[in-house]
Order: sequence, then structure tokens, then C-alpha cells
Amino acid sequence: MVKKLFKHEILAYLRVWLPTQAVLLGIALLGRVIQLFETDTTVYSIVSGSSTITYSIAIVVSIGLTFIFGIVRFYKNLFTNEGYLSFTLPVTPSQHIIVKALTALLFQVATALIAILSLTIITAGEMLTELTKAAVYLLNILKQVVGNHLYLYLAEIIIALNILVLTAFLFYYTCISIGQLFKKNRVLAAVGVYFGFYLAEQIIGTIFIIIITVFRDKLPIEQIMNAIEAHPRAAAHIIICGIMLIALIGAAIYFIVVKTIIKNRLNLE
Amino acid sequence: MEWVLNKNKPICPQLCEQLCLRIADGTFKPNERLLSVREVALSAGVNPNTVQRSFEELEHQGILYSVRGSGWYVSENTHLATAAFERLLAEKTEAFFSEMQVLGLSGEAVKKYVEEWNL
Amino acid sequence: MSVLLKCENLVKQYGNLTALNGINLSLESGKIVGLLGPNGSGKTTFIKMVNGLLSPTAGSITINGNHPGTETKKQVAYLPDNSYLNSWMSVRQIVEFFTDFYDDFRPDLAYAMFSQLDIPPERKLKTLSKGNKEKVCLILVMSRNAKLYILDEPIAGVDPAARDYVISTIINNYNPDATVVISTHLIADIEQILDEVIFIKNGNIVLKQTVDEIREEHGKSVDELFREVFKW
Repeated sequence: MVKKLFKHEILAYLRVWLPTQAVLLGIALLGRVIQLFETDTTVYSIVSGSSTITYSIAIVVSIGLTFIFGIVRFYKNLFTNEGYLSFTLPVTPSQHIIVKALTALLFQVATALIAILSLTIITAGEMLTELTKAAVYLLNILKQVVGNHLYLYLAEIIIALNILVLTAFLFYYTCISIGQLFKKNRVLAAVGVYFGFYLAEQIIGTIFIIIITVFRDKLPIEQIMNAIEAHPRAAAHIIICGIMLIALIGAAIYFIVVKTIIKNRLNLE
Repeated sequence: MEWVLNKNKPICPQLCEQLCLRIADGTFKPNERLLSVREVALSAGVNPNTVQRSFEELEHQGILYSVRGSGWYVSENTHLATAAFERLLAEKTEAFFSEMQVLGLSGEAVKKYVEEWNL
Repeated sequence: MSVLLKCENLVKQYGNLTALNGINLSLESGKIVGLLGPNGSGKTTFIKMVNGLLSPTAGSITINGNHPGTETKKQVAYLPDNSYLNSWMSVRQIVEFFTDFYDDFRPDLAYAMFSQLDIPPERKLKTLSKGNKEKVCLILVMSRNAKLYILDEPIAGVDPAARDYVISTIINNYNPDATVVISTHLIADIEQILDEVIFIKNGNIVLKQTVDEIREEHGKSVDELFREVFKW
């Protein structure tokens, strides 16, 4: 049943995602083709400049739209009249949530990969070779600084990014779900919840900074700094893994909240 | 096939009556297969259970019989159906004349009108 | 004839508003049952609970012995009173959807009914008229070989000719192992196909009888009795 949920979730994304990616790749291709007509004229500068701007906007739009779709899809498929179909399928709330969150992540990653592809298209040829050389050079420098741990770090960073994106989606799902607890204006309520979280975050962050500043002397800040200087590689691993762990815990909490709301407090209009 | 059903009275007896009518007037012949429960339910727009009960009631009265796997058949006792039909006819006629009487029309006038009625 | 749906002291409260006040009910298979009551009587609340879309405050509800959950959803076919269709699928795609998720779905039957209504499978759902959308929803539900069908206002938004089609579809699909619950206001049009009716008022069941018993006892149609019972 989960396989079928994934299948239909992916189908729902593809019909919006494929055209946008095609447009992005088209703009990249166009941008590359324009470069073939390079001349020293102002006309060319304007055209190529516009093309570059358009391309930059297109990448941002592509990534942004995919993210927004991941959130809107959750709301539309579960909490509008489509919900009458979704929640009468022989599928548990957990399965719904997991499939939606993972598919949202999947497409976000795919969008990033297509963005990289579009970059290779628009810089194809000499520019791409230069870019690749620069990238390899950068990697080698990093390898010298970090040693063989480089690939481990890269893997950790990629995993951490994935977890952060997943947690972000689950966070928005939580805002939407809490909004569903209200009788009217549920979407507005969800937005309110979002700002509520944002506010809470700011307050907690400020309190945290105040505590650190006030108790500066009592806290082992110097020791921590020395330890990081002494063992930079270990410190980096710990920090990245720490972030991963916190994000995972957040994801778990959000998941439980959404699941509980759907299981016990669902009330479709 | 037209069915005349009055919602203010139980449907089952009405179906029985009208089935008897069709048997009495020869629409359904003896030892011929009757329509299926589903077909009657569809054409009359009624619940199949109700049709089933009517068939079973008529079977009980000896007017229909069922053959396993084949369906419902009209029995040879068509006189029973005719009797049932005649009871219905008597009932309706009685009701008609009573109503006319209540309205103040004399029995003779009504009879004459009926005789000259263009069927 | 087995008990398909059973409710024991089913209660639903929203704060201090009681939508269902201790419903006790037992529905057998092979019956077409009318669930009749005015707006706010608790019909919709009850229907949502049978479908696992709402959880009870107290009491229990079982379908074929199971509490509402994934097992019951495999056996219950629900037609809500609003269209549940999304905007971008075609008829064929929604049929595939149903085929994927419901083992008891019969796509051939669905396509046969669509062709009867001249609805081509490639048609996008959003291009259908309101009446056709409702028919599509009905066909999808009736193409399932479910144990319990719940039809919420199946004929309300539909023209009289289409109502006959809906009624014929329900009769045609009749299965002695299944129960059909029809919730509606339009009693006059539907009472012919009902075995029993349940009158629900202010969260309580005030009457549960077979249709012919009502006509026998009261000498009235169900529609007329309803008007009496629910007079303002």
C-alpha cells in the first residue's frame, strides 16, 4: 500500500515538476546558445545580461516552487475535499505523512540536481572546463587541510542537509495540522502558528544568548574553544552530527504531533 | 412494464397484486419464466428484497414456483392469480362506488357513465 | 444475514455540544437502509465516524467486527456529499487510483457505466459538469464490491432523470452480503428502494423500522411520516 501511495504522490508531483524543470533547462540552453553570438556590442551585453538574470531567477524559482508545492500538496490532498478520498483509503495516517514528507524531500533533491545540470548546460564548453578545474583545485586544497576525512565530511554534510530539508517539511506540516484544530480560517491559523513558532524561536534564542553572556564566566567557553582548536576534525564531525541529531529529534517530534492530530482530531469540512 | 405503486401503502402486497394482474391477463404465461427479481426491482424502482418477498408470497399462494439456478416461473394455477386479480378488482370497484356515493352521485348514473366509457 | 454495522452507546461531543447522544444500532447485511434526519441531527457526524474520519468521545462502532481503521476502510465504500475528486486527473487516472488502492474495485464495471453516460475515459475531471462529477463519484463507489456502502445525499445535486439513474445503479448493484446506507433529505424519491429507515433527531435515533411496517402501521409514506416527526 505504501508503494502505491508513493507512486501516486510522485505522479502528482511530476505533472507540475517536469514542466518547471524543462523550462529551467530551456532557459539554461538558451543562455548557452546566446553566448555563441558573443560580440562587443551593447546589444549583446544587454541580451546576455538579461539571459543571465533570467537564469538566476529561474533557478531560485525552480527550487522555491518545488518547496512550496511540497507544502501545498500536503494541505490540498489531506485537508481539502480531497481529504475525503485520502483518509478513506486503507492507509494509516503515519503512512500518509511519511510518504508525503519523503516525496517532498525526493523532489527537492532532484530539483537541486537538475539545477546543477542546468549550470553545466549554461557554462558548457570552455567555461565549464574552467569551472571544473577550479572545483577540483578547491577539493585538493580542502583535502590537504582536512586529510582523507574530506569524503566523510562531504557525506555527513549531504546527509545533514537532507535531514534538515525533511525536518523543514515536517515543520510546515505541523503548522498546517495545528491550524486544522481551529474551527474556522484554518489556513490563516496555520500561518499564525508558523509565526508563533518563529516568535518562540526568537525569544528562546535571545534568552539563550542572554544566559551565555551573563554566565560567561561560569561557562567553560574557553575550554570548549581550546578543545575545538586542538581537535578540529573531531569537532567538525561532532558539530555536523550534532546538527543532524537535533534535526532528527525535531523531525520525530513534528511527525508525532501531525500523526496525533490526524488520528484523534481530524475534522474535515 | 408499468407499475403503479402507492407509497402510502406497503409495496409488497401491491407488487403481488400487479403480478397477479399480469398473470391473469396472460402477459406472463404458465410455465414461462417470470422476470428476475432484479429486473422487476429495476423496472419498478423498488428494493430487491421487497420483490423477493412478493415472489415468495406468491409462491406460498401457489401462483409462482421457483427452479434452483433458473429463476421464477408462473405455475399452472392461473385461476389463483385470476382470483387474486378479481379480488383486487372488486376492492377497487367497491372503493370507486363508495367514493361516488360520498360525492352524491347516484349508483345508476355512475353505472351508465361507466358503460358508455370509451375504453 | 449477519450484523454488518454495530454501534454501542456511541457518543460524540464537541466541547459542550453533543452531536451524538448514545447511539445504539445494529444493521444487517443485504439491507438498503435510509438514514433520515434534518441538518444538524447528527447524520454527518455518524457517517464520518463509520468512515474513521472522526473519533468517538465514548462508545464503540464496529464494522464486521472491526473498529474503524485500515481494515474497515477496505470494506467500506463512501460517497461524501461533496465531490472528492481532484482537479487534474482524468477519468482513467482516477479509475487506476481506485484499482490500486482497493482490491475489491471493478474497473470494467466502472468503464461500462462511464460509457453508458457518454463520459470518455480521457476526459479531465475538472472539465466535467457538476452533475457528471457527482455521477463519476457515484460510479466509482458503486464499482467497489464493498460490504458497506455509505451514500451521503446521492441524489441531492442531480436532476430528476439522473436520480433515476442513481436509483437504478443502486438496485443493480444490490448484493445480499452488503449493506447500503443512504443518508438524504429527498425521501420521496428514494423511499421505494429502502428496506428500513432510521430517523435521527438531535443526536438520537427516534425511529427504526422497516418501510412496509411504517406504511402498514401509519398508512402513510415514509416521506409523510418524516414531515410529521420532524415538524418545526
